[in-house]
Amino acid sequence: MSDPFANQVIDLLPNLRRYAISLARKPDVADDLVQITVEKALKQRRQYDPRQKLAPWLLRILRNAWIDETRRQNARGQQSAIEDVASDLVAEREAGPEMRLEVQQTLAAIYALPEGQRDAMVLVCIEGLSYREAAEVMGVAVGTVMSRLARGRLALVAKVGIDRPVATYPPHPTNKTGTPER
Amino acid sequence: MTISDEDLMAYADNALPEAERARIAAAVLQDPDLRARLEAFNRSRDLAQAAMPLEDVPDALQQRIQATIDAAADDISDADDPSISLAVPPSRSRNVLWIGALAASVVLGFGLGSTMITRDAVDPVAFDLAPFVSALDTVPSGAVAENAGIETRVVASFDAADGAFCREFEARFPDRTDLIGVGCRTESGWELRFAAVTELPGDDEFVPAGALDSLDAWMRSTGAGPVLSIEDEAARLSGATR
Repeated sequence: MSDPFANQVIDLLPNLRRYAISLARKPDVADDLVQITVEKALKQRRQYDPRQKLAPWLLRILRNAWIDETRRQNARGQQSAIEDVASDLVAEREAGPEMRLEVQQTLAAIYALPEGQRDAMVLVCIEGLSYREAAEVMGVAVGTVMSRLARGRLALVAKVGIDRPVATYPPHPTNKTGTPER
Repeated sequence: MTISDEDLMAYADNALPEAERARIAAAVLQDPDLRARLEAFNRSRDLAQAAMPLEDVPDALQQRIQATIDAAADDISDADDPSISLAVPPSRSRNVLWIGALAASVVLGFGLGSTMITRDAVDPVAFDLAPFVSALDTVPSGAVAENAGIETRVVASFDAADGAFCREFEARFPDRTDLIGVGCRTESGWELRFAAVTELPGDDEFVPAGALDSLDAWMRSTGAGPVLSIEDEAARLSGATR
C-alpha cells in the first residue's frame, strides 16, 4: 500500500515536529500537534493542490491546530506559564554536553524573541520557506513577515554576537549574579 | 539611496529580482555599514539553522502516525463514496451531528462518516439560543455561566466576515450532551451560526477532535476574523449591554 501523499507526509514529519516544538516548546505537546496535523491533512487532502509544495500546506495546518489548542487552553484557564516551559526546554537541551555554547545561546535568544518574529524566523531561516509561503502559513502579509523577520534576525545577532570567538562567552550569559561557574 | 533592512535581508536570502539584486550589490560594495548589516542577516540564518537541526522523529510518534495513516487508508477503501470518505483514527472518532451550519455544503467534504445534517434538513429553531444569550452578552472568554442547568463556557470572540460580533462557546447539558456553537450578534439579536453536538463518553474532558475540525472548517469557509483581544472583547461586550 503505497500512498504517495502519505509517504510525502511521513518524509516531512521531522520538519513538522521541529516546527511544533518551536510553537509548543514541550516535546509531548509537540508530538500531539504533529499527530493532529497528520489527521487533519488526511481529512483535507482533497483541498491540497499537488502543484503546491506540501510542507507549507502542512505547516499551516499545524499552526492553525496550535492556535486552536492555545485558544482553548486559555479559555479553560489551563494557560501554562509558557516562559517557564521555554526555559525548561532550553535547560533540557543545555544539559547535553555535546551542545555547543553558541547553540544554547542562540536557542535561548530565539525563544526570547516576540512570537511573530520567532515564527517568521523558524519558517524562513530554518524550514526554508519563501517569504510568501511563510506569509501564507502565518496568515499575514508578505511585508509583515519581512519586517518581523528582519527585526528578529538583527535582534538574534545582537544577542549572540557577530563573530566573537565562542570561548570568550561566560558559561551562562543570563547569570547576572556573576557567580563563578567553574 | 536608502536600503531598508528588508531589502538587505531579501538580498541575503537571494529573494530579490535580478534588477533589485544589482542595485543592492552596488550599494553594499560602497558602504561598510551595509556590509555589516548584510553579514548580520547571513549570520542569523546560520545561527538559527545550527540551533535547530532536523532530528529524527521518536519511534513512538512515528508508529502513531503510521497507524493513523493506515487507518485512513482502510477508511478510504471501505467507503462507498470516495468523495466523503475520511480518515478518523478510532480513538478520536466521535459522532458529530450538524445543526444549521450556514456553510454546510462547503464543509460536507470534511464529514466524519457519521450523521451529518445540513441546514435544509433541520429546523434551526430546534436549538434555541435563548439559554445562552445572557452568557453571550456578558461573560468574558474563558469564563463559565450557568443557566437552567446548562453550563456555558465562552471560548473566544471574533468578527464574522460580515462584521457581526461572534462568540464561540461550549455548552454542557445535564444529560451530558455537549454543544459547540458560535453565536453572532445581529440587529435582531443573537443568532446561532454554527453548532455541532457531541456525545462525550464518561468523564472525557476533551471536546472531540471531530467537532473541532468541523468548527475549524466552518471558520475557514466563512472567513471568520482572528480572536479578539480581551480588551477588544470587553469593549464589544459593554456595547452589547447598553
